Amino acid sequence: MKRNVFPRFFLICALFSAMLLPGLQAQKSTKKSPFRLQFNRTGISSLKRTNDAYETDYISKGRALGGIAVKYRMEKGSWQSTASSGMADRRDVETYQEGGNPQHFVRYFDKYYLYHGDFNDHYSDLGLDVRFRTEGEALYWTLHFQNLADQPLIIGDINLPLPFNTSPRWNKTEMYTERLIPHSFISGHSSFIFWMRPNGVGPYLVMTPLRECPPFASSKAFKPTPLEFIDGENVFIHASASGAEALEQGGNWRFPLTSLTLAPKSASGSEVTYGFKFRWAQSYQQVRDILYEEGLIDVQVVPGMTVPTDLEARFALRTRNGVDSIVAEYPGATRLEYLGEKAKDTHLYSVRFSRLGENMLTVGYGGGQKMALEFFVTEPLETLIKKRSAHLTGFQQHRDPGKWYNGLISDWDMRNKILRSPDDTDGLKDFWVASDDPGNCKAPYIAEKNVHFPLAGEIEAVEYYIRHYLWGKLQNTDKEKYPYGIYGIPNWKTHRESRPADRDSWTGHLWRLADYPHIIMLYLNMYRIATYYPGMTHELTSEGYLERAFGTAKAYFTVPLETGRWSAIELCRMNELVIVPLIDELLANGKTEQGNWLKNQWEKKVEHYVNDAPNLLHAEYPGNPCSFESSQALARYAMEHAGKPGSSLNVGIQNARKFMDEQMTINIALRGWLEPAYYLLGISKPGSGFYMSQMAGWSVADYALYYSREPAQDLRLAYASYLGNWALMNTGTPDSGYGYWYQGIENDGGAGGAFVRDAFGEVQGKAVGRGCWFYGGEADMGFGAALRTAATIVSEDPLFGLIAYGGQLTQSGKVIDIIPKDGLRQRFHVLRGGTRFHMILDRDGFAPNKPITVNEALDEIRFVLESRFSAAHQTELRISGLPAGAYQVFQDDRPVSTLAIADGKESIIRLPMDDKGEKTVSIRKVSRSGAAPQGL
Amino acid sequence: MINLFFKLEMDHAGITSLRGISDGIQTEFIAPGRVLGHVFARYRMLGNPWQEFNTEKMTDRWTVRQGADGGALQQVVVYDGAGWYDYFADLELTERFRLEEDVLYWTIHFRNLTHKPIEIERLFLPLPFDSIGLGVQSAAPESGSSVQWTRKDGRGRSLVMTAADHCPYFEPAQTERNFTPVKIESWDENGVSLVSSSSNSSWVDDENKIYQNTKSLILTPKFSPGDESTYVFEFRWVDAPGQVRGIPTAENPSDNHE
Repeated sequence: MKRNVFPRFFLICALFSAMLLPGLQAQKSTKKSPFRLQFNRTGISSLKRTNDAYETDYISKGRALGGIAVKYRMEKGSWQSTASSGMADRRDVETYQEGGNPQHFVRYFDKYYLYHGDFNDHYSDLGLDVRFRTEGEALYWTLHFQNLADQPLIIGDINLPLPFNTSPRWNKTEMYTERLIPHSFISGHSSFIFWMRPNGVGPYLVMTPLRECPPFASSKAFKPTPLEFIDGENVFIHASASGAEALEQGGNWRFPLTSLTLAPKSASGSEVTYGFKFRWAQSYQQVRDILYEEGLIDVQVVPGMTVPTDLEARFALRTRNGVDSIVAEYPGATRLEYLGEKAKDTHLYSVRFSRLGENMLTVGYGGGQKMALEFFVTEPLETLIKKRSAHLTGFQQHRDPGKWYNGLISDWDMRNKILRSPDDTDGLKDFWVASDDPGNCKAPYIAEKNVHFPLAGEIEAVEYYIRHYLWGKLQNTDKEKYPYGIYGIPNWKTHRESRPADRDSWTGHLWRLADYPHIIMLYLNMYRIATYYPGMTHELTSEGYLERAFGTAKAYFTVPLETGRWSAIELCRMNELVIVPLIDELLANGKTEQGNWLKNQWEKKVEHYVNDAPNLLHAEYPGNPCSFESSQALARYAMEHAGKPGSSLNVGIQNARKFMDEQMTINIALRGWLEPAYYLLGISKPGSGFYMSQMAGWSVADYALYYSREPAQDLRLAYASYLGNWALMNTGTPDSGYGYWYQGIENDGGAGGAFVRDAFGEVQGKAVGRGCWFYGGEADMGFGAALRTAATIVSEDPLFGLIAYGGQLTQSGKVIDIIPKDGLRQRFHVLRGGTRFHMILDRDGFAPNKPITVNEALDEIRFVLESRFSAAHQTELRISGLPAGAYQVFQDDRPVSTLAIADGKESIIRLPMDDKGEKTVSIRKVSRSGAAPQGL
Repeated sequence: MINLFFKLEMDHAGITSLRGISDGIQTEFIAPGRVLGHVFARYRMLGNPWQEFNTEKMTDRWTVRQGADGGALQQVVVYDGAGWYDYFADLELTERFRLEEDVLYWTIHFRNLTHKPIEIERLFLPLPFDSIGLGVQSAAPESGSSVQWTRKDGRGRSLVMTAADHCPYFEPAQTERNFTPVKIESWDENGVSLVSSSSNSSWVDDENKIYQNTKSLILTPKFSPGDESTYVFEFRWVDAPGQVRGIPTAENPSDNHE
């Protein structure tokens, strides 16, 4: 009898095997399962590790793993949606044994008839068995679909909600030990997800798609399981239906989206089995090993997956399946080279891209399985740094003396090519265009860029902002009731004009702690500009800017506490690391009282964080990674001062080290590390494009360079973190339409403050498809941090060999040439074996396209120094890590100074520069002893 | 709302009838015509006169939703609910009644909607239990940690109200942030005072004194760390005062929680 094709119900039979049924405990195998499971009528309601260090429940309380939503249709029908959540009252529960293992069943069933045709015992279209079962060290989750109809059935979506315990909490213990950070990589058959506690203490729960049929399931219908789509906490095995909906809404998706056709009932191909496996890993390396063992691909990449056109990337694929192919999305613009099998099953490749924007490499492996490596290709870093500043000053500053916000550097709408203002917010919250982090972060970036690459017009723009928008307006002057206080949301005008009964304004609204460090940083950078480049600043002298920086720093520690009970001692804030160099400058300039006052405040903070161990995930929002730039600065200060003669810091060195490692562990736990996609690798809150990726990325880099026990490993993550968010800068050439995300010359140098990973999402109430948001928001805090991170780093990497991050390296015998391409050309490091060599310029730079040459022994170093200012000046070179001995420094072959290196400590070389030209500098070891060479 | 332990009848403001499922005699704990859930506060915004926040008088400034959440039944009422821009009041109050197995939770969450500090001088919760049929006592008057209602004829189970010592999992992070373990300042047959001070601070004259009055509850300006305050109470059935944690007895005066 021919079946009617009315919408019919969906039958779910879910089989759950639980290992903890008390009555059956004695019949279990002698080896205790590492999974402690509880079930409710939906699925796994509690998942814990046996003998775990904490009582972490991996499932969110009140929810259960096992739910599923499916969209299917008959060959010519429309999509039908069904979900297990809609069948809550139609189920049976029973307990039985299978193969000596206790089994727990929940069977969902449907006994309603919806169609109007003849009676038919096939009251459902699609049958599904869902099974959870532990086997040894693993937990399996299988899904067996069966077409119950007499015609082909097309499954458009298989949508699996993953209700893991990821919601952040304010309570430290709960947040650190009972909540989870998800790490998901959705990329075909090599997709994986793992969940870890924020405190980094293992084990981590790893979920991998099944490549092989598990022993307890029928292999007849088994297929290797892909994941191809993600929507919030939901992952999809197939997603052609939901993907199409997202595209209709204006979204987009780059992976191919598929459906599955099941043949009519009883025919070959009428059934399919998919599944996943959960295992515990004690460390990141064990997660990698599980990926390898389960037949996936473990990927390592340097220097990151956002790659400038002038840098090469290398990647390693570790898989026990053969790599069949690697197909570039743009073959004509991709140069891919196989570098050989570095270790067993570990294949190395190099790749260079020339097409700007997203570039995908599709890896075929294991005879028909696929995964994608998503790179983002951008312009050279120095171009990005300069273009961003040019865009902020050229397109994003209001210059209209008739407006109260004259001088404001506001947000640029890349989609509509419009500069937004308090009079035209595009529906954004008022502060977005006038105050708070988005409003306050732009001028500091411009100033910081101009410390390195001064341009008169850009410096003038910053001073225009200070004169017309900041001083006496956004910021209280030194003569007002709260000197140097900074107004918060919505904007300074509202507050200054407030009346007593107003709810939305207050003349004392100066309590937002986070606003202050941006302005301190702005003033300190202007002080540096005024100091380095006399005549280029006109608003204040260098001393005047230093005074402003201190005044604002003092207000930071006092005004928010007084007006809003917000203590700068008790909360880490972004850009706050500026306090340390400010203390140094105050003391170096003879402002001892001010310097010591600030030092006292900072040391209170260091002591609080190191000794009291407060919650580092306690920011403006719980679980927010905003603390981890500052926390590294605090830890670094503690490490450098604890126990030192004359130090006033009340911190023990062991506590300092412990704090440094703990805060770094959490910092890394919050960012993508094993996930090889440009919007995940190195990104805090992976997939978000969060600017903190670069801010706390500075921390990872600082840690890797100076404190890590495994610097080569940490440098991989550090540099990926530095590069990652440059993908959100809209930049391009005339050929590429001036931008990958939003085209047009007006957008060249614009930036997005967020990335949407889902096919269709929302940022600040604005609908946006997968990709870069069209407003910059707070992105410049990240770019500013990138300026502090930029460096060329030579690393002896155990996997990739001798490489240069942010540089082009060539080796000839014992001589290594590195052309710096890190964006600034001011910092150079060599980390090889026990060597940690650091060479940092305070201004000017290593000449473009000219190598820094070092030999293996590091007893001869040569480079060309580029002057970036026309008047005579002196450039400081801080150098450390040289082998002990006496060194002579030459400038254009004339000896200029000597160095006596005894213990690898830092030395300062002052290099005279007299114009905008270039000078060759060489540093040569002249004797083994630390004594200065005779005659010099 | 009914579960295996409680049988509740609700109106928008809270509980109008409270009985125990296993109570064979079906004692009604709420006084006729009264509601458990009303809140009274006396407060002032910086530089402004004292005002009252009284849910009994807020006849139309609330929204309520009731239903299942994660397998538990709950009712949430919001007074003067506010968004980013659409706020018209000084304070927002959210109350949640939730049946979580054998515990009935009552959450009270205040939020400062203004950009100025708010001082709450008095925060009072009427406890409209049936004083005719029930006797009421504090199991630990000195610590103020719990209140217990028992039928005067000694029949049936007693109802104990204790203060939660940690924020329950179902409360969102926003509510959890400023959770305060409750110290009941004083109670009588009419209700309990969570804040009770006779303020002598002088905000109007001197803004710098705003945080110097330690007896009042100070809500810092909107979006600053102390702009909210959360209290949570738990109700349980007991056969004897010592049955429930948190109720000190002569044998176990401290009754520390494990």
